[in-house]
Amino acid sequence: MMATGVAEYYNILKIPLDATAEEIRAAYFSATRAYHPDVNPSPEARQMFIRVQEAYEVLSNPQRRATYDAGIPPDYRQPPPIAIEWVLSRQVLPRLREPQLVYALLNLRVTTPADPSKAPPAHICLVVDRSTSMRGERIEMVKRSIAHLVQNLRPNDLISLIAFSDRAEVILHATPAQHQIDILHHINQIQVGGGTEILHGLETAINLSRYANHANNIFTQVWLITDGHTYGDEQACVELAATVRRDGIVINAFGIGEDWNDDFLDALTSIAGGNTHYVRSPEDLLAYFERKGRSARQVFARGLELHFISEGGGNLRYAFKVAGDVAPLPLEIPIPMGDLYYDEKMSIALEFLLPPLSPEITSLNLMWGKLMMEVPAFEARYWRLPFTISCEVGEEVGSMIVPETLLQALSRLTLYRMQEKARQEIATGEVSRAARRLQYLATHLLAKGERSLARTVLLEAEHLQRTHQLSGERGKQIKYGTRSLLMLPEPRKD
Amino acid sequence: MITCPNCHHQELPGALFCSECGAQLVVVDRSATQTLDMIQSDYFERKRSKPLPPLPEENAAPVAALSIALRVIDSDEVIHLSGRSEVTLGRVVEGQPILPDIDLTPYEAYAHGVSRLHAAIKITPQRISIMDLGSSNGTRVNGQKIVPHVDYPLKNHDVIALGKLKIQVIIQ
Repeated sequence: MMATGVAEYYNILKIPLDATAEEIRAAYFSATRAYHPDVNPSPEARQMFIRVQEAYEVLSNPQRRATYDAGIPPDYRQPPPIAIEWVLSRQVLPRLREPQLVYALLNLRVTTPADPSKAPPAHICLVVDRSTSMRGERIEMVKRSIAHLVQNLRPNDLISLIAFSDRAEVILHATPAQHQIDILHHINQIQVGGGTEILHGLETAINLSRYANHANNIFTQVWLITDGHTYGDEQACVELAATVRRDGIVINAFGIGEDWNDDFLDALTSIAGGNTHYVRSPEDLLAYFERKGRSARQVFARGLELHFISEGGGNLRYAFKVAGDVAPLPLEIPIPMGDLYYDEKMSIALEFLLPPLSPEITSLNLMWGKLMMEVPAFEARYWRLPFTISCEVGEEVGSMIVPETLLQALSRLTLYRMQEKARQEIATGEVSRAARRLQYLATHLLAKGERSLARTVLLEAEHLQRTHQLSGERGKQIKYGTRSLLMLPEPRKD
Repeated sequence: MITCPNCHHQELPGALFCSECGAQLVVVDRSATQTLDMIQSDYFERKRSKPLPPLPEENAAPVAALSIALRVIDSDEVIHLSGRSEVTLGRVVEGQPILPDIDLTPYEAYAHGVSRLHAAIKITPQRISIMDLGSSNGTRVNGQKIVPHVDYPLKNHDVIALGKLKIQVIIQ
C-alpha cells in the first residue's frame, strides 16, 4: 500500500534530509499530535502514528540515523531546480533618520521543463453547495462545468465529489477520471435543498483527502463552490484550513453570484495556499475550472511556506502573490504561498517599513530565512531552500530609480489596494473619503484602458454617496476586477 | 516625508505610489530591467520604442476600397485579408467544430499562446476594429491589453499581439 523509498522516514516526518535534531523532534511532536489515537481514532491515523514512531526512533538516534542516511543515494540530495531571484525598489538604502518604505519582488521559477512521467496524479475534491439558492441554472452550470473538467483530466487523475447543505454527503469517492460515465452518473445525483454550512463540507473533504494524499503521494486540491454565506462557522473553517497546508492540500473557492462572503472565502483560501474566483456567468466557471485543472497538472512543488526574519527592525507590511495565481497573502510567519507550477513563475510583491537607520548599519537583510516545500516527484520530498534579500545602506539619498518589472507589478497592485482601502473606509464610516478614493481609482483605470471596470467603479462611487454602503455585486466586480488586472497573460503549454 | 504632487498627501520616503490617490511618485529605470526576466509587457515597451518600418509604398493597392494585410512580425510573412467584413483569427485543432477564418498554426501559434478562437477583426468602410473573443492569453494593441468582447479601433501600423504572437496591421 505505502511506498517505502529509502528516504521514507524523512517523508513521514515531512522534513528535509538535512533536518537538525531539533527539527526532527519538533516534526515528531507535531505529527504525533495530528495522528494520536486519542485525537484521531481512524485506522489510517493509527497506521500513520505507528510509522511516525518508527521513523522517529531511527532518525532521533545519531548512530541509527547515520546508518540509515548511508543508504540514501547522493543524488537524492540534489536540491530541486528552483531559481530564487529578487529585485528591490532601491539598490542602496539611504540612511534616513525617519522611517522609510522599501519594496521587493521575489520571483520563484522552476528551471527544468515539465516531465509528465514524473508528475503524480492530481486529486480534485469538489465540495459543492447544494443549498436551496443553488436550484436551477446555478447547479446545472456546476454540473456542466464538472463534466467538462472530467473530460479534460488525465485518465489517472482522481475526482471526488461532496455535496453539502446543512450536512455533507460524499456523492463520489476518489475515482479516476477515466471512469467518465460513472462520474457523470454521480454528478447528476446532486439534489438541491437546505441551508449553507461550509464547515461540514470542508471537514468531509479534508478527511477524505488527507490520508490518501500522504500515503499515495497524490496532489489534492479542494475546490469549494458556493453561492451563499455560511452561518457562524467562519472561524472554525479558517482554523481547519490552516491545518491542511502541511498535508499538501490546497483550497480554492468559486463564489457564484452576489451573495457569498468574499472576505471569508479570501481568508479561507489564502491561508491554505489557494485563491478565490468570482463567478458571474457559466462561462466564467467553465474557464476557471479549465485553468485550474491545467494548473493542477503542472504542479512542481506544493505547500510552499516562507519562513523568515527581518533584520534591523524591518517590518513586512503587505504581501501579495502577483503571478502564479493571484492572491492576497496573510501577514504571518510562515507565509503560505501555495503551489509552484512548472512553467509559470511565481512572484510575490512585498512592502517593508524600516525604522530610522543608525550609523553603524552598513547593510541590511530585509528578509532572510528559508523556503519550505514538498516536491512530489522527488524521492526525498521535503525541501528547505535558504534565501536572503539584502541591500546596502549608504549616505546618499539620491533620486529613486526603480526597476520596471517591480514598478509595473506595484502599479497594478496599487489599484487593488485602493479598492481595499475604500472598503476599509466604508467599514469605519468614512464614506466620502471612500467615494473620493473610488473616483481616483476610476481615473487610473481609464488611463489603463479598463473602461468597463472604470465605469463600474464610478457607478459604485455614486451609489456609495447615496446609500453609504457598498453594493454586493459591484463591490465584488471591483475587487476581483482589479485583482485580475494583476494577472500577466503568460501562455502555458499543456 | 515626501509629498504627492497630485493630492499633496504625505508619504513615507521610499513610497512608489501615493497611498491616497494612487499617483506614481517615481521614475522608471529601463536599463535596470536587463538583468531580469522580461515580463511580457516589458517586451512590448521595448518593441514600441523601436518603431517598425512601414511596408514599401509600391505595394499600395490602387483600388479605392480599404485593403488590410497582417504582417506576422517574427516571420515577416504577410497575410492579406480581402473581401470580408469580419475575419476570425485562431488556430485549427483537429476535431474542433468552430474553425477560425485565418489559421495561425504555421506561425507557431500554439507556442505563442494563441487560442483556438482568439480574436476577430471587423472591417467597415469607416473603421477597422479588433475584438478579443475571450482568449486564454488575451490580446494587446500596441502593448495595451484590450478588454474581451469589446471592439477596439485599429490604425495603420498598429501592432497587435495574440498571446505572444505579434502581428502588424497594414491598411492600404
